[in-house]
Amino acid sequence: MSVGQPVVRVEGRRKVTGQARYTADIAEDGLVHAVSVGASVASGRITAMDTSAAHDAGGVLAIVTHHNAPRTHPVPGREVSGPAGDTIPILQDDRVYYAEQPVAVVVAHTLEQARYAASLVRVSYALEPAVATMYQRLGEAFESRYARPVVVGDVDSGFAQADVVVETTCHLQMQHQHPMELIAMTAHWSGDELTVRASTQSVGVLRAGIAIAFGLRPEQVRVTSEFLGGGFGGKASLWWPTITATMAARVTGRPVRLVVSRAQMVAASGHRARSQQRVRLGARRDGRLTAIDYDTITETSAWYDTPPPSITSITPIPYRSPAIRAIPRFVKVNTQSPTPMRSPHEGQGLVAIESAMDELAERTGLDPLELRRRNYADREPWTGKPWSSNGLLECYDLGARRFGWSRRDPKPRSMRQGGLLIGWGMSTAFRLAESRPASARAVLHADGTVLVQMGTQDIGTGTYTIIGQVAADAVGVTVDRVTAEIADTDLPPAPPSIGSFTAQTVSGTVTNAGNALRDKVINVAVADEQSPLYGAAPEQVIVHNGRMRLRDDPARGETYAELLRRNGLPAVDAIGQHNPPGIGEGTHGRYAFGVDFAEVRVDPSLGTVRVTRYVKVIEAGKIINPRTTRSQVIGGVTFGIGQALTEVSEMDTQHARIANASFWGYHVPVNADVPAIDAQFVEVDDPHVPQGVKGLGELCTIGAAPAIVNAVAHATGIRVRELPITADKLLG
Amino acid sequence: MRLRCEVNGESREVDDVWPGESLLYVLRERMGLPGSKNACEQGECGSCTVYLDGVPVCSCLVAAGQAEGHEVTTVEGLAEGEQLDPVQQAFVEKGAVQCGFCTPGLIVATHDLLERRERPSDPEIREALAGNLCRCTGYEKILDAVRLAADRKAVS
Ligand code: FES
Ligand code: FES
Repeated sequence: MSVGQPVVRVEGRRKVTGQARYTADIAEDGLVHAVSVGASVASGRITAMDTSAAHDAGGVLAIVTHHNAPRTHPVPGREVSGPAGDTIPILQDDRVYYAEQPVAVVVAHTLEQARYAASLVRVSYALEPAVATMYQRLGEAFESRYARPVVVGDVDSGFAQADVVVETTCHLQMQHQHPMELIAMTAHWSGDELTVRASTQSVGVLRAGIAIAFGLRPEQVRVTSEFLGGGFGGKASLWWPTITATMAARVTGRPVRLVVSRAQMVAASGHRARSQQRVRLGARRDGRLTAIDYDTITETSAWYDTPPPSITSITPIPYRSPAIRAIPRFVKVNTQSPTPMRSPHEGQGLVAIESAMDELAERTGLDPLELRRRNYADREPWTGKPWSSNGLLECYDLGARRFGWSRRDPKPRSMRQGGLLIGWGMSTAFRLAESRPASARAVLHADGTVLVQMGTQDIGTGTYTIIGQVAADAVGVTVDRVTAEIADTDLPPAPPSIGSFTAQTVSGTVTNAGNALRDKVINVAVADEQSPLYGAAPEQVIVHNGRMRLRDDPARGETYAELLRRNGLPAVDAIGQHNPPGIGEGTHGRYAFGVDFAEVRVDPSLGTVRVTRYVKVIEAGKIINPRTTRSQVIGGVTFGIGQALTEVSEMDTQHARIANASFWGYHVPVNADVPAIDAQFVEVDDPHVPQGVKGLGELCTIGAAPAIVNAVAHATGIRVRELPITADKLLG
Repeated sequence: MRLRCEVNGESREVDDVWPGESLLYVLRERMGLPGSKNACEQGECGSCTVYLDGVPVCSCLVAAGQAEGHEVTTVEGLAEGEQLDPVQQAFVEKGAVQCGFCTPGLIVATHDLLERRERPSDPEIREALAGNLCRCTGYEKILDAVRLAADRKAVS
C-alpha cells in the first residue's frame, strides 16, 4: 500500500532547484505587462480622469478605464460555485466601493514602464462617506437569507434550567491571507479563445466566472495553474486581477501579465472579516450544557447584499446541548468582500465558544478538558445525525498525555519560571470533512507508467503526491510509476481547493478512475488468447507492482506492460467519477476533529507572549501521507499563532484604507515566533467517506487561536477578548 | 545600459537595462532565471535572496547597475548537474517545502549559513533565517532540514 506511507513530495526537487514554474515565472513571446491603478478613496464617484501624461510616458500600449473597457456581465458569486469574489462590475462605471478598487489598468512593454505610467494617471473623485468598520454601523446589522440561523430546542427554557450562565463577547480583527506568492495572471487571446494562467485555488471557478463576465462559452476559456505559491482562501474565487488582465489582453491583442503588488494584495481578493462574536452558555452545576446562545456580527462589503455563504453557514458548536440558537448578522462596510481564510466560520467562532467554555470551567470548578469531555456530542449537535466517525475523545486522551495536562495548576498566575508567567490552554477543534463531485482520467502507458489527469489544484499541500499514492494503490503499481497532471480546465473537472475538500475528493475520484482502469486492462487480458490470464474470471485477477496474476495461482500472470505491448496498445485509459452527497446532506455528519494544547510564557512587565510548547492531535480518518500532512499541521498551527498573536490589518477609520498592507506592517509569524510543534494523529475507520479520508487543511489552524487565548488567560488572569493579543492588551 | 555580470558561473550580457531596475527583475525577466521569487519587492520576505559576490542579498533591493561586473549565484546555480546540494536534498527529504514559493530564498540563505557555521545551534538557525518568511510550513521542518544538511556537510 502506498496510501499511509510518508512518500516524499514528488515535485520537491523542482521546487528546491528553482525549476517549478509559478504563474509569474512563465515567459511568453510578445508578453506585455499590466499594472492596476487603485482608487485612492473608499467611497464615491470618479468625476474626471486624466491619462494623457501616462499615455505619453514611454512604452505604453493601452490604458483601460471605465470609459473604454470591454463591457462585461455581472458575475453572481453563487454562480461560479466558489466563495463569492468580486461581484461588482470592474471598470464598468464611475462608482468606487472600496480603497484600491481598480479604476484604470495601464499596459506597457515592460513592467517598469507600466508602473511608471500608472503613477501618472490622475483621477478626481466626488467623495461619499465611507464606512470603515462595522462599529460605525452596528445598529444596521441585518440577517441574510444566505446565512440562516440555527435553532435547536428552546434556548430560553435551557437558560431557565441552568445553574450557571456565562457570557462573553470577542472581537476579531480583519486579517489577510498574505500567501507568499502575489496574485498573478497571464491572459492570452487567440481570436475568441482565451487562455489564462492563474495563481488560483480553482481553475474551474475562474473559467466559469470569466465565461460569464465576457459572454463566452466555457469551452472558449482555458485556465491553468501548474504551481501555486499558497492561497489560504484568498485565491479561491474570481477577483479583479483575472478580469483586468483579461481586459488588458483583449484591448492590446497581446498576451498580458498582471502581478499585483504586496500592497495591493489587501484589495485584490477577500480577507478574513472583522467580526463580533457573542456567546452565552447555560450549564448545570456539573458542567453539562443546557443552552448555547451564539450570535455574530460580521462585516461584508458595501455593495453586497448576500454575504458569502462560506463565512456564515456553518455553526461552530462542537458540544451537546438541548438548546442551541445561532444567529449570524452582517454590516456593510467599504472594503473588498470577505472570503474564508484558512477556515470559514469555525476558525473565528471557536475563539468565542472556547473562551466561554474556559470561563464556564472556572465557574464550575471543573478542569477545562473535563468540562469538554462532559459535553462531548455523540451526534451532530444541530441536526441530530450520527457522526460518520468521531475520534475526538481519543484526541483528548492522547493530547493531554503528550502535553502533561494533568499537571496543570488551575489557578491563573500560579505557574511561573524566572520572571515569566506560564499558562496552559486548550481548545477543541472540528471542521466539516466532506468532498465535492469530481472526475479524473487514469491512463496506463505501454511502459507500465500511469498518468492521472484531474482538474484539481496543488496549493502547496501535496496534491501531486497524494494523487500518485491513491492511484498507485488502485491501479496496482508502485508510486514512482505514477505522475499527475492537474490544474487545467482541459482536464476532467474537479472542485476548488478549498474547504478541506481536496484529499477526500482526490481519494474518491482517483480510486474510482484507477479501479476502472485496472478492471479495463484485466478484461483485455482475460480475453487475450496469448495472455496467461486468458479465460480467467476477471474478479480472480489481482495486480501487484504492475503485474496481473491470479489470486490463487501467483505464477499465472503477466505485467501490464507485456499485455499492452503484445496487443500494440500505446495506452489504455478510463474515467472515474466521484459523486458525494451535497454539503451537509447525507445520512451522517461528516467532520474531522482535533484538540490543541498550548503553553505560553508571558513577560508581565513587557506584555509579550511567546508560545513555548504545543501539542496538536488530529483525527481526520485515514492519513494518506504522514510526511506532508505533519508539515501541513505544523504550518496550520503557525497560521493560528499569527491569528492569535500577531496578525491584524489595521483599518484607518478616517479614510477606510488599510494602513499596513506590507510585511513590515502585517506581522506573519517568523521562524523565531514558533516553538516545536508536536503534531499527532489518531486514525479511525470511517466507512462513510471515500477511502476513510477526512480533510484537515483547515482543521490544522482551527483551535490554535482559542487555545492560545485560554493559555494567556491562565498565565495572566487576563481574558483578552480582542484578537490579536498584543502587548498593550496585557499591560495597564 | 548594457549589463555584464557573471551569473551561476557564466558570463552574461543583457542590453537595454534601465539601471534602476532591480537585480531580481533582471534575473527573472531578462536572463530567464525565475527561480528567485518576488513576494514583496521591498526587502521584507527574503524570497528573492541570491548571492552577490558570495554575500546573500535581497535581489529586489539591488539595482541592476550595482551588479555590473559582479558575480551572482541564484538557486538555479547551487546543484551540480543532477546532484542536488545537501541543503536542497535536505529540504526535500524533511518536508521543509510546501508551496515552495519561499524555498529558493531559504535555500540560498541556508546555504550561506552553513558556509559560515558548520554546526549552527537552533537559535543561530532561527536568527539567520529570520528574514525569510514562509506562510506554509511553520518553519519546524525547515529547521529539521538545516540540521540534516549541516550533519551531512560536516561528515563529507
Ligand atoms: S521580494 Fe525581496 S525581500 Fe521580498
Ligand atoms: S512553503 Fe509556502 S511559503 Fe514557504
